[in-house]
Amino acid sequence: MIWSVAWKNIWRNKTRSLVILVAISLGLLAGIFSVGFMMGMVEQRINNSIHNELSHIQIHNPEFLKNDEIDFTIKNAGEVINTVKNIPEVKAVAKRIKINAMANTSGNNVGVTVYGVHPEQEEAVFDISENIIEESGSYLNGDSKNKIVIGEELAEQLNIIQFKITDVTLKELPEAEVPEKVVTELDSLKDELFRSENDFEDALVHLLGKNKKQKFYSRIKAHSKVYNSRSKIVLTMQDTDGNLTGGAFRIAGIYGISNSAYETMNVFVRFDDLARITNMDSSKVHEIAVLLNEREQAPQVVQKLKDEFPGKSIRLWKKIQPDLAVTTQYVEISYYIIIIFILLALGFGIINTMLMAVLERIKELGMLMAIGMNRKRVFLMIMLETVYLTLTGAVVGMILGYLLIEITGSVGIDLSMYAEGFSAIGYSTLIYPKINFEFFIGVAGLVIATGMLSSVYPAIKALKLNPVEATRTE
Amino acid sequence: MKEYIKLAWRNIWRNKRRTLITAASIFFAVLIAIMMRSFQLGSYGNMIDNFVESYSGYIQVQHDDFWEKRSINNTIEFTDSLQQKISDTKNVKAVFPRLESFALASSGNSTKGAIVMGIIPEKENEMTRAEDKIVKHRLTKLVIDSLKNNENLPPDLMKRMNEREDKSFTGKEDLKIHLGLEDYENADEYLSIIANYSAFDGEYLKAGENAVLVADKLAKYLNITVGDTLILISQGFHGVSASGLFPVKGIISLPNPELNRSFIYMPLSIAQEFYSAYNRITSLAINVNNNDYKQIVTTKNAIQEQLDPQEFAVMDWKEMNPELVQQIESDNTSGKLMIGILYLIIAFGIFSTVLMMTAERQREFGVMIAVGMQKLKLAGIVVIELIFIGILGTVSGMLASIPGIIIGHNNPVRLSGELAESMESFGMEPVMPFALIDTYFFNQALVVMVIILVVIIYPVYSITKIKEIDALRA
Repeated sequence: MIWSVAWKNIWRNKTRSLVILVAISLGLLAGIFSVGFMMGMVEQRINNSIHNELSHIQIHNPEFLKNDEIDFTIKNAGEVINTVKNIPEVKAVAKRIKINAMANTSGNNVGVTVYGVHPEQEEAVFDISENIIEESGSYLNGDSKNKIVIGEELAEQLNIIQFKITDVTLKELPEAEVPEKVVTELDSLKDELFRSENDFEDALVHLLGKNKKQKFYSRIKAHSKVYNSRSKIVLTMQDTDGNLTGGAFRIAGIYGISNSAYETMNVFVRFDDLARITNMDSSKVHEIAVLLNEREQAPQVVQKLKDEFPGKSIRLWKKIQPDLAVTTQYVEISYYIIIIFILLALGFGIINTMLMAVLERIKELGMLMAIGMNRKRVFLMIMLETVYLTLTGAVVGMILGYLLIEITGSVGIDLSMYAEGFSAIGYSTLIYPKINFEFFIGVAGLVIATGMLSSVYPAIKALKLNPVEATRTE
Repeated sequence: MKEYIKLAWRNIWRNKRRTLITAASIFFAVLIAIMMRSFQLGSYGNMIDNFVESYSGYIQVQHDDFWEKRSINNTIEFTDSLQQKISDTKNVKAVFPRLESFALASSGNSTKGAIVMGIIPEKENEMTRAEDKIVKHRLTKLVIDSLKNNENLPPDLMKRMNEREDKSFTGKEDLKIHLGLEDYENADEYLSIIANYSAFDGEYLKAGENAVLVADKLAKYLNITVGDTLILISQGFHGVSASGLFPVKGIISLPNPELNRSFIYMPLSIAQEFYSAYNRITSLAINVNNNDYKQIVTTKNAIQEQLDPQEFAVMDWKEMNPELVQQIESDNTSGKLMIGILYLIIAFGIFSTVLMMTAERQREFGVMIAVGMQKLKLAGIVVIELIFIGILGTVSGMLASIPGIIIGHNNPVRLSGELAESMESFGMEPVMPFALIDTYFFNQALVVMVIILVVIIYPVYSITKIKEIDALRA
């Protein structure tokens, strides 16, 4: 009986019930979305680094990490690779030579780390091959000797990327929300080739003035790049005997992974080319990079490998780049605290609405008591109404939240409009929210609990009503 | 008008319960918005202070070309008048002259490139607290072996020490944190045993003393310790050859891993003599009283005006640390999205209370209109009521947040475990403080007031659409 009374009560005052319902479902939606956004962002930062730069596990000769000399190769590397390949959790393995070198072009010279890689292994472990800028060429494919893949930032420093404002630039800039007026001004620089970024920047400052240039520079730059592919780079390094050696490499392609620090430092050539130049035995390697099926398996696999090969340095991605782990964890914790704030606001919102809803009905409740409904039943009725409303709201909120995460998770949320130069440190501007099951349920549980708890106080207040006075209130 | 205000004022206090609930929803909205923003900004502020104060300083005066080309030839003359001019500028707290250049550091058979930093020891210590970073304890293999048979120490503490073999610590407190001694009951006893065995000599520099401090990792690479002699070879001012022998007075553990592999500190006068750069410095780092960025820019401009732009460049911390700025900005962008979600929840919380209030008062409104009140005038009274309630809620929320902010600033969220340890190793204090009252404080209150003004539209709309007959029956 009391069950159906409570149910009917909900529909008697539709506005009130709807407000509570919307409050709960909106709260849940916001809670789920903010958790999903945070998780998506953290996840993406980690994944970017793992798939472009780190892999899950790296194996080295411990001496090599202290002092990266060419002689500190991994002992019996072949055996290690075979063992690693046979571990079921392992998806792919890549072996690399890693040597410090000077990179020279006619424009400039810069110190870099050269990786000697097997392209097919490398493609299985890392995503660099997928991040080759389209206009710049391709990865280390084909048979011709001495090819090299370098980062976009390095290419700019070596003046391999040059700058020119073309018709295409002028057409694309308005789409990137650069005002027409600025674009018209740029017209006077059309088809002039700038060999270095400095020259380009100077010309723009001269043309647009300092402030306007500052504001639009990153967008103008992005649309004015000319890839001087097929240029050559000379790499100079030490061979196994400590003598200076080197070779000229032709650029196969330029990669861009939105991490300028990594892009300046790291270049890739074929394993055999590098081994030949440095006189290295081609069975020797400096670094073995391991990609697993799931990131969560990494700590166990590291332990397994450590037991198997006690004399080697076997590092988890977290240990290879500790600052990544620190910043992501810091961000994660600060977001947890922020989410607590959001949930608190949500809680108070619901409490207020509930309080208003119950206290509004004082007269009605007083009447019920006056005609003989006992206090226990009144309390039960109010609580039941809350349960119905909260659960309905929660189901709606969960469905909407799930859909929102699914949609934004596949389309992505573009923050590039709000943050210029977001990517210079390896953060993508497109964020794909995602949430795992435990958090989804956790947030839902929390919101439901808030909804229920917040109706206890007004229900208790209702219990204490004096029927005579209550029926008199307006 | 006066009567309306009077009417509204009386209306508010006629139904105290309703007023309090509405005011409470605004109160919590303001309180939570302010606290959340304070927390967000405080975390960034902490990152900035740690980073800037430990290395670059808030402002630097340099030779015009030094930033592009860090050569010993791009130095400025350090005169009393220069120092006087800058010290007298408003908001300048202290100035730190530095002479920074490159040298080959050598000991035994090992040689490595190093950055030599000439400083005035006492002054430098005021800002970067370099003295606190001198290594005072080191868990060498010898130390661990001799502690192995000590029965007083529990076995899992031995294990922790083994994991930290060869690590350096800057004091007892540092040892305690990194070994996680608070997990043990007899922490003090263990600490004194370990501290005793692992004690490591080393002292901070004195002005004019012919001695150096060597960064921890660099010292390990060169295999030198306190009391040994370091050979430095470089090129001095205008191509004079520079070489010298320097006793090592202390080992310094620098938070930045890059600097920890390459830094050597020596007193400024000794560095000037070594590089034959008499009375010259490469930069003048400046610490400020008020580190708000706007104030810093004002101070920077004030300094710039007094100096010859052909000779001097003045840079603030944002210009010197573009990557830190980008990281903060990218975090801030997602932070703004989170606060957007908070506003949404707050807005709905306030809206639902106001909606409920309007619904509850249908009958009252009906009576008023039936006895001849104009709908618009009635709506005006309700608007005034809500503005009163809004001011009440906002002001009380602002007042209530002040103690919250102060408590959160003085007792920041303290992180623990692995994250705290790695943050410390990057030179960041592992805390998340709240930012003290600033413009954000009023902005948040303003946002809530705007939300209230938007929400007011609903009751106004609802009153103008009211049907007296239905309302009277409600």
